Amino acid sequence: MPSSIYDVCVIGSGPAGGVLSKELAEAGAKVALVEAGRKMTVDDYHFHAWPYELPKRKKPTPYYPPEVTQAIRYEDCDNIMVDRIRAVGGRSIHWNAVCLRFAERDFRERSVAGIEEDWPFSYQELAPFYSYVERMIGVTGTREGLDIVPDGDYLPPLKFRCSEEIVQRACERMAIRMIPARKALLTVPFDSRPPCHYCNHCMEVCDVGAIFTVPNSMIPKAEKTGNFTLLANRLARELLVDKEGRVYAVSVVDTVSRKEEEIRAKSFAVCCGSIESARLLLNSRSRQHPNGLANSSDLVGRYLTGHVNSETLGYLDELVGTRPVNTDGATDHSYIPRFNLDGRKRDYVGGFHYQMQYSSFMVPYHAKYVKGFGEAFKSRVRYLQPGFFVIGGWGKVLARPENRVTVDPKHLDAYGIPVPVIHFRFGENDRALFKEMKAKEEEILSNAGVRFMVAPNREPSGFASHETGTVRMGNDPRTSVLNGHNQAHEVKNLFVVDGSCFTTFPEKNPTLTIMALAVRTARYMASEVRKGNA
Amino acid sequence: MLENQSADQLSRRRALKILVGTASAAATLPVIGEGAARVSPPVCHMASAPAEMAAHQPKFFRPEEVRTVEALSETIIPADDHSPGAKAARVWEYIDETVSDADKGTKDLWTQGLASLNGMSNEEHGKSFEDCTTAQQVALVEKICANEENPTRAEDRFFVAAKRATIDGYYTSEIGIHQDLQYQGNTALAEFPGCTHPEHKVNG
Repeated sequence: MPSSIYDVCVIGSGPAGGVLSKELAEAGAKVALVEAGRKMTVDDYHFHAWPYELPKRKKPTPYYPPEVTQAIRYEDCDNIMVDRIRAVGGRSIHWNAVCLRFAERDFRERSVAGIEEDWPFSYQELAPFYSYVERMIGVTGTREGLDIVPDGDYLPPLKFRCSEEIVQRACERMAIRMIPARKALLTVPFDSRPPCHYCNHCMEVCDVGAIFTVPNSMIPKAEKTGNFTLLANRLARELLVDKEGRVYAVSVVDTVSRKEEEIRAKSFAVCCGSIESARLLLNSRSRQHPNGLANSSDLVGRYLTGHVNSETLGYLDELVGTRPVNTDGATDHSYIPRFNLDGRKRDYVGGFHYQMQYSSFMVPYHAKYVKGFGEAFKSRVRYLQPGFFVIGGWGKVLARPENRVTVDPKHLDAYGIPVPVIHFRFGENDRALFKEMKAKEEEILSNAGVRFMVAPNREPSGFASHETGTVRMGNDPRTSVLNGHNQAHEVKNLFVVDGSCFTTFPEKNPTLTIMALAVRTARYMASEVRKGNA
Repeated sequence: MLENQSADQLSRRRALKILVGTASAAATLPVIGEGAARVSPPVCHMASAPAEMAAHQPKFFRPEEVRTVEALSETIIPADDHSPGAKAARVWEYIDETVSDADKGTKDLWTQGLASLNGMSNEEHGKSFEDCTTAQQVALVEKICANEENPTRAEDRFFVAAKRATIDGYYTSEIGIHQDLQYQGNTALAEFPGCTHPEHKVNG
């Protein structure tokens, strides 16, 4: 066997690919991790910089290169955005690190709620992998004994700000639970990483690595095994198959030299995110797979879903006009789990949850909504700012086959690869759910003593970087692309491990589940490789 | 009302922040357990950034327009007892930068909006907007601000654009952040204290 043939080639270095690579390398597999983006360096970030020190008063976001953001087509779409990061570490270098376990019922939508499909496995099967990931990455939180968001293994919780205490009091009166946030953020030293220093820049990469990222926490461990090769700046063009229809290589273009290469491996794991993973499979056409790889069912790209979002800003009467204090902290410190399972009948199915205080406290967002100008305007902006509270809803969107990713050979990206095309419409259920989500967040704020309320967006929008579906799992090859081990029904040495594999998507943030699936898939792949099946 | 802060106090507070943001942050953070290595110390770009930006050369506005933009931004966010206004915060520089990057529609909106504002002021007072008294400037802007929630006419849209740009420029400036809002964050803390007021708590 030539040494250039890897055991596993992982494509995409986000939370899925990062965790999968590290686990496989530790299990003894020779792993190549292919990433289209480059390694970010300390100079790409502007830790703790003030806006007035930056050109155009904005922190640059080099991990969203225009060649990616502009190479996407929205056709027949509602107000949604699919933002695709291109950098080593993928989404893990630009995330708020929310880590929520899906509930038992979230895996059984058809059985419990009569909608969509059941996942091909249960919560109980995934639970040990949730625990494993939590203990590996460090998650702050509290054990609450709530069925809707099962407890995990947690570091000490984040303390509530005054604003969060006040809103919690209001929630209490409404019989709504508000609990400490659960995030992959360190409140104590953990795994050679220092704890949070509460500067509120979590989303812009933590300068000390107190928030989990793949480059900080997974790649060094993978490298330590001697089994791991990172191939950055390689954009996957297509997966190449042998005459049996199994993948033997990924053809990549070096984004720096523009050289074309083939990377060979025994197995392949596609971890590019819901849009790019579907795109890669659809762009991998061959005699054996004329409709795209593992797509004889025509399901690749379908069932695109994500979260429908709402947001309301309010200014708490108890805090407006008070002396400014440092409320930065670690973005959101609190969380309101789904609470609409109260037995009351509603005109929609599915749930929503709220996150709060995830925005910077430096910016007076309300200024644009305070009427007028001059001295009165200026002092009103200043007066309101200490009362700032933001609440955002994330709601379930039903997975429907007509919402999908396709590719368009007439439109090519900078490397001559057909771009992804997004087709997405919210359904009636999604709109009805959005309506209650929006109304409830306003009700919570009103009950907390908010008189000045700002609603930037009154219409449903998505997906807050939480797009899922497109390469879904299931037991039946006629209705799913992957089996319950993230393995393609039609191509045994092909695995797809990111959020695209989700059979259905509840209101909860996807990343913890993606990482738990990555660990579970790594265990399965390692055993299949040992048995010679993959 | 919030108390005023002298320039001296301000610069001392900021100097402390700079220090906290760099090497001394290690001392303020809890000691890490045996064998644990810091990934990297907190980095603060302030230390290496120039203390003052070089004088801004207009990229889009003509010199006479600069004076109008300056006066208009100061009318929207004026100096008061509490803090300096948009002029001292050099908001026109930010506006010039953003308009020079913007599309043609935005550029035209500004060019025509400024011309029409000066047209109004010439008609009523026989001088440019920037040469009017503060009271005259306020009265002129009042004429274009009425429909800000539902801007339809060109002058409505110009007022909304000017107000938004002034807000963005002012509240991202040193004066806006530190002197006006007295923002206390963007610094490294060893512990986050959380709420210490019993009256805010559920079981308080």
